[in-house]
Parts: sequence; structure tokens; C-alpha cells
Amino acid sequence: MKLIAILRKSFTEQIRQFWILILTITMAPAFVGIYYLIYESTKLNLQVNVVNQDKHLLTDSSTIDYGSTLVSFLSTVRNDTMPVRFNYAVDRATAEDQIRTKKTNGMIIIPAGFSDSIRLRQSGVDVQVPFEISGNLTETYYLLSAVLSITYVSGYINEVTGTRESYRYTETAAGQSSKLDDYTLAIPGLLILATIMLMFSCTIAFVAEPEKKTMLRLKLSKLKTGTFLTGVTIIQVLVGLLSILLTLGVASLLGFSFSGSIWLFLLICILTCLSIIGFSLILAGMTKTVTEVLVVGNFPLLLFMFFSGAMFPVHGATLFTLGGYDFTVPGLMSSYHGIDALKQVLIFNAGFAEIWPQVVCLSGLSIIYFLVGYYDYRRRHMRIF
Amino acid sequence: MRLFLSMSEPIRIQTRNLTKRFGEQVAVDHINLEVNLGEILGFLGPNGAGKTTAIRMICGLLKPDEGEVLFNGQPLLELSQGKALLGVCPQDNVHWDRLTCLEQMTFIGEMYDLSRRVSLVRSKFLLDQMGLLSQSHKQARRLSGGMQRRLNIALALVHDPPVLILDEPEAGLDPQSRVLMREFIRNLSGSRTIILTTHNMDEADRLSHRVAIIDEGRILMTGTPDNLKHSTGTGNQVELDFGHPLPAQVIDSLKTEFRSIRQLTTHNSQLFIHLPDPMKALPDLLAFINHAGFHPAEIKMRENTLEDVFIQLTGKKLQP
Repeated sequence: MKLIAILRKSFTEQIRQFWILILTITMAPAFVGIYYLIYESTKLNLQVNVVNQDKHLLTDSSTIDYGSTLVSFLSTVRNDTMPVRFNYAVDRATAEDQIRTKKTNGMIIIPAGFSDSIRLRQSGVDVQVPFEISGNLTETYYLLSAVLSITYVSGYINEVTGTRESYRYTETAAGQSSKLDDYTLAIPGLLILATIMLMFSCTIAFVAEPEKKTMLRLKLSKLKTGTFLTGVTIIQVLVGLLSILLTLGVASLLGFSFSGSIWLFLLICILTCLSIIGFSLILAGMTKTVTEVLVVGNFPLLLFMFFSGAMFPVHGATLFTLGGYDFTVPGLMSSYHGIDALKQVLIFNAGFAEIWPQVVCLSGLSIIYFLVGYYDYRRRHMRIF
Repeated sequence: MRLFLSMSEPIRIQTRNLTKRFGEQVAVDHINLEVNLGEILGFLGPNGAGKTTAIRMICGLLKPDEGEVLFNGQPLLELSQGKALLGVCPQDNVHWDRLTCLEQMTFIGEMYDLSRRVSLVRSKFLLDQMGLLSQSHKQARRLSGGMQRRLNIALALVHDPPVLILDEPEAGLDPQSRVLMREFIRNLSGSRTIILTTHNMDEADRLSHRVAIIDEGRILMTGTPDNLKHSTGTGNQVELDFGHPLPAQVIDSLKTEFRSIRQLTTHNSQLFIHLPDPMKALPDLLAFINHAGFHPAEIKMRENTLEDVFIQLTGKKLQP
């Protein structure tokens, strides 16, 4: 009988702990949905630029231009198993820029002596036909595009020379990607993770006053919502920066080598902190107690941690493009842009001119989060008349 | 005793037809109250009577559906002092756990636009008045319950408000602290307008100049505690114990002879007589009983209390 009483009591309490119950049973299904939306909306579609630097040869009777022929051949390639498109790029700089902005996954450079080497090979001289592939060695999709590039280009060379193993390729890393190991590559994401972790401390700081009812004293003192939120925000930004610097310090002690502009680094970190604080404000507007924060806050925290690129790279459907930078579905989470901008600065030594779209996205999202959060928080916790 | 460095202008509070509805329920129903300059008004009512809603409207934390609150004839927002004229001591101990007593007192002072220096001076003064000066540098969470209660009141006074709203100020205090608190509140009156909400009738009786009793959102009665005790209910009680039950005819003749008797009940050998002025009537009453051949072995007198008035007005039934 006691067991039945305990069962009845537990069941009643569980039903009445509405938020905990809803979040417990819906979090995993919701993540399945989010995962589907992010990944299924972006089918794999590798893009490779082809830069033709080949100097065609003029003979008595004809022009030998294997570079252009290769470009034409590659443009007709269709692969249903591993979708890839080879596109012509006018020069190397353009192709490199498109790799940096993630428009393409890699590039093939057909060198100046390409036709000449093929001709020599055809005439029996033991030379290997050169070509070059390049990309961000840290990107998974680059590895796939590189394999496909080598497969198609080497196939073409073998066919036109009528020999096997007739080619030689070199691989050039974009930016500093060749110098980076997995550990170093993880650091930008982990630095932003330090700001994501602000979500709890920050939301709790906003909710503690209403929960402890000290908000009553602040409301009676005519304190303006903006003044209160600004004060809390400044302290939380400092906490976030301290956390980032501590993370950076530990990373440096363990072998991470900082490169890039320190000012851009700080700008990105501060903007990301602000956006997380803005998001925390939305959370604080939805909750009344620290316990509620810990329950409800888990959902966005996991979302920001795992789907904004802090732990591993994520891709998503493009919603719009800003200055050549794709604003994707995961980009709705501000930390996505922070991570991308930090990677650009720390890996590609990018300057402000290269990362301004990310900075604009970060700032825009911060403003949106803050406006929504301010309205919600004021309505819920600081409304006086 | 002058408690503060500067005194603000005394304030008179009026509510006119103050009304608040939550859906179908009328929480406060056309309340008309006046709290005069330097007066302590005890605001009494059972749980859910509408006290807190009314107070929240007076403080400007809740917008009335009808009516208005006037401070010296003006709405709160039109006064230059604005909300700074109000000091509120909530029922719960509301303080910042991890700030010391002095830190939170000066913080609140600064929230009311006091300079840090003035805020510090006032904070130390009030902590001293509340017997908390030796605890100035202790975090609030480390104080005892009684000390936290005293800090709660001190926090309401840092900015020297001319209007003070005290919600159950003596709740959770030991007798010594209650005496200290009562003295303190009495000293505050005269220069300040005070609204005291409480369930402790003894506290209200001892402290209030006037009392307003509210139930189901309506003011049932307003007056001085003495007036209420005299005009409401069955009056003061005389208890006579004869050691044996009195005959019914004696009881009936008592009722006939003494018109001032409001209620007369018996329980075994005891006779309970309720009348407004027992001291005046008692000699004649005893003479009449003695003449009938009965002599009480024990005589007790109990004054009509504010609690009697309260129960009389609001009933014994628990609020829904």
C-alpha cells in the first residue's frame, strides 16, 4: 500500500513539475528535429575552383592547350555518389578568397607548363605532369574535394598521355591551415565555448533579484531597467573576458600559439559575450527562479554548444548572403559567427576587411537578443507604472 | 529624538475609490482611506482580504483599475520626490545575502540618489538604532533571523522616506527585539506617515493611532483601537465562577435588570457577562447577585481586544 501511495505521489508531483517534464521528454526529439533541419537542408555539394595558368603551345599545324581541355572536361563532371562541381576561376587570388569565405571547398591550379609536360610525356620523355591542389586543410569537406580533384585530374592526364602514374601533384595549404593540428583547430571553438558558458551565470544574475524579491527594493527606488541591465551586463562581459583569457592562457601553456590581431580577437570575444548576455536576458524573461533557469536553460545551452560550431564544424542552409558571407541556419546562434570570425583571425590572419560580415551578424544578433530580452525582462520582472 | 539628518515634508495619503480586479475577482473594491500626517494606520485583514494588493497600488507597483492614490493631494508620479517618498519593509526579509549590512544599506542609499558619504552616515546611524552596528561588516546571510528582520526595516529607511509601509514588522522577532522595534516605530511616527499591515492584533493595538479593517476587498471599519473596541462586538467580559450553576431565573433577571449587558452566557459554574463598561456596572451587578443569595468564588475581567473586533467583523470562517 505504501508503494502505491509513493507511486501516486511521485506521479502527481511529476505531472505538476510542468517545465521539467516537458523538457525531459522533448529535448531529445527536439534535437533530432534541429539536427534534421540543419543537416538535411544542406545536401553535400562540393565546390572546387579550377585556375588555369597553362600556356598553350603553338605547333606548325595546331594549338596544344591541355589546360583548357581539362577545364572543359572538369566542367562536365557529374558524380551522383559524391556531388562535386568544378568551376572556372579567373585567377588564384579569386579562388583563394572563395576558399576563405567558404564559397568553395578547394581549388585546382593548372600550372603554366601543363600542356608542355603532357606533350613531352606523349613523346616518351619520362616527366610527370604537374598540378596543384589547395584548400583549408582543416576542413573535412576539403579532404573530400581534394580526393575527387586528384581522381579526375589524374584520370584525365593518364588518358591523354596514355600512360599510368604520369602525374605529380602538390598540395598547398590555404592560410596557416597546414601548420595547425587538431588541438590548435579546436581552440577558437573552445574560446567561444567560454562565452557560451556565461549563459547560466548571466541568467542567474538577472533572475536572482526577482527570485530573492530584492527587485522590489530596486523597483521602489525608481531604478530604470536599462541601468540595472547595463550594470549586470558589464560585469558579465568582464567575467566572460576573464574566462576567455584564462582559456587562452591554459591553451598557450599547452602549446597553442596565438596569431592574428589581438584587437580583432578582443572585439569578437566582447561581441560574442554581449550576444550571449542578450540571449540570457531572453531566458531570464522566461523564468522566475534559479531552478527554472537550470532546467529551461539546458536547452539553448546544448544548442549553442553543439550546433554553433563550438565543439565540431556545422553547416546549414544559407538564409542570405552578406558581403560574400553566407548567413546559414546555425548562424541564428550568434556564437556561430564568433567562432567563424575567430577562425578567420587565428587561422587565416584575417583583418577587419575580411571578417566584417561576421562582425555585423554578431552585432545584429546581439541587438536583436537584447531588444527581445529587454522587453521580456521588463514586462516580467521590472514593470512599474 | 531626531532620527535623521534631514526631514522631508510630511505626507498625507488618500485613496479614492481604489479598485483592482484580477479577472472576475475584485481584489480591492472602491477603497477610500486616509492616513494623516504623522499617523500610524494599522491596516488589518485576513489572508486574501486585499491588503497586499492595496499596498502595491499605494506604492505604485500596481496600476489601479479605478480610483487613485494621492500624496498631499497629488498622484505619486507628479510629485518631485516620486517614489523616493516611500519606504517599504516587506513581510519577507528582503536583502542581498552576500552583501554586508553596511554594503547593502549604502547601495540602497545610492539607488535613491544619495551621495555615498551621506548614504554611509545614514546607514551607520540606522544600523546603530537597530542594534546592528557591530554586525555592519557581516554578510546578511550570516545574521540571525531577528537581525535580518531588523536589517529589513533599516533598508526601508536609508533614504529618509516621509511615508513608511511596514508589513508585519515584528514577525519572527524575539520579545526583546519586539520591544526595540516597537520603540523604534513609535519614534518614527510624528514625523512620518506610517501604514502598518499585520495579523498581530496586539502589535496593531499598541502601535496604531487608527486602524482600518479590510475584508473581501472592502474597508469594514476605520477608527482608533479604543473606539473600535468600545463600539464593536459584545464589549468587555466579566467572568464569575460560583462553584455551581446559577438558576435560570437569576440569569433571566440579570438580563432584565441590567440593560447594558450585551451578551450573557454560562458554562457549568461560570457566568460570562459582556458589557461596555464593566468597572462601572460591576458593583451593582455583584450587589444584585449577592442579594439573590449567590456569592462568586472567583471574578475575572477581560477587556474587549482588537482581535475580538476583528473576528466580530470578519467572522471566524477561514478565507477561501
